[in-house]
Formats: sequence, C-alpha cells, structure tokens
Amino acid sequence: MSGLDEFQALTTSIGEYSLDTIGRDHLRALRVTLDTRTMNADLVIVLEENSDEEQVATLRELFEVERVFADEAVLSYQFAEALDDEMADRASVPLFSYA
Amino acid sequence: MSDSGSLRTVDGCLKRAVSIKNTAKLLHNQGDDWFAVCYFYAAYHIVRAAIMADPIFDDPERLKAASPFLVPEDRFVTAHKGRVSKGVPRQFGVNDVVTALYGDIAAQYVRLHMASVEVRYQEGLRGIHRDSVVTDYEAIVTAYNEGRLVAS
Repeated sequence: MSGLDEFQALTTSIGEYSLDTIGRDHLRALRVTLDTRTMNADLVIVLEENSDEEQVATLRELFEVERVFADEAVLSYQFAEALDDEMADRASVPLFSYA
Repeated sequence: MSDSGSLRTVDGCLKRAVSIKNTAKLLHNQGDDWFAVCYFYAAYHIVRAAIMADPIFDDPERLKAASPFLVPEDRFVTAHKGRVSKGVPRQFGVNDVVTALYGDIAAQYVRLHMASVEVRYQEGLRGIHRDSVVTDYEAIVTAYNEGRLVAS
C-alpha cells in the first residue's frame, strides 16, 4: 500500500468508526480530512439536531473514537450547519465524506 | 508553548482565570464573540490548576491505568492538543488530559476550545451557541469548586 493509500485508509477508518459510534440517525453529514504532515484529522460534523444536548452527547461519543485512534492521529472537531465546498478543489487531501 | 513562573502554580492559574473571566463577561455584555475565547482561556487556567494539584500525577501506575499515554510530566502540559510523531509515544495536550481524567466536564471543555477556534480562525460563533459557551464555563467552575476535578 502506498503512503497516500495508508493515509486514506486511516481517514476512512476514522470516518466510518465515527459514523458507527455517533449513529447515522444523529448525523446529517460528516467530513474527515487528514493533514498528513501533522497527522491532525479534522472532523466537520453536521448534526440532525444541532442542540446543546446533542453536541455534548456527540462529543462524548467522539472521545471513544479518539481513544481508538490515539496513537495514529490527533482529532479536532467542528460543528457546522452544512458542509461547504472548500474540499472540492483539494483532491490530494485524504478525505472521508458522508451526507 | 512555555508558561511563566506564576502559571506553574495553582494560585497563579486561578488568579489568571478570574481576570480573564471578568474580561469574558464584559465582552459578552457588549455582544462581542471574543467573549468565547476569554471564557475558554479562563477554563483553561482552571483545569490547569486542577491538573497541577491532582495527586494522580504522583502515581505513574494510576496514570497508565487512566491512559497509556499519560506521563507525570503532563502535570505541566500547556499545549491544547498533543501530537503524533513516528517512533515516539503519543504526546498529550491539556484537551487530552481533561478527556482522560475529567469525564464529567470533558465535553464542555472541548466544546469551549472549539468555540474559541471558531472565533479566532473562522467567522465567529456559528456551530456553537452563545449560551452553550457560558453554561460550559459554569459547569467547569462548578466542578472545580465542588472538588470534582480530581481523577478517580
């Protein structure tokens, strides 16, 4: 597996594990991108219900994802109302997207 | 990121937290989103005070049981997030220490950090509600005052 393939595999794993842990019925969209220099994985989370309680519950689920990938990536999170299109032009960034 | 002498003491951190919290209140009353940055940093100094005083950092075995990546030196960690480097164990930042040790308020603390990032690097508070910033800060203060920011 090439280096980029490994990074893409990791990004996909983080995305899929996050989907399963949070639950698809709580999510409208999710995007994961990986900075392969710093191994920072940014998760943009669009909740079905972007309430205070849902955000807290989601973060508590994401801490489990952090534990699983702790020695592979540093996870950061952003709650958004919708995914923007900024990633459309960054084809070389390892990316996972669910919508 | 290194810290000055006073911010390596519990009292120094708590005094700094109070000062920043006062600024947060002023900015909140003015409707300025930078209040979120101030509330985050007030919380940051409170949790650093808790971490410094936490006896778990005197017990390497308890630390490892809490997380395989925690080390006694994390008592004085200042970076928000840790790092992953090849061939070196994962390093923790304050966010990671809070998540590992203070589950009661970890979500509130991480969300406060997220709010400060929204204001500092994006276009202001969008995904996180203004009221959540205040209640998250208050949850952390209450937990500290009730003696709950101690690893069990």
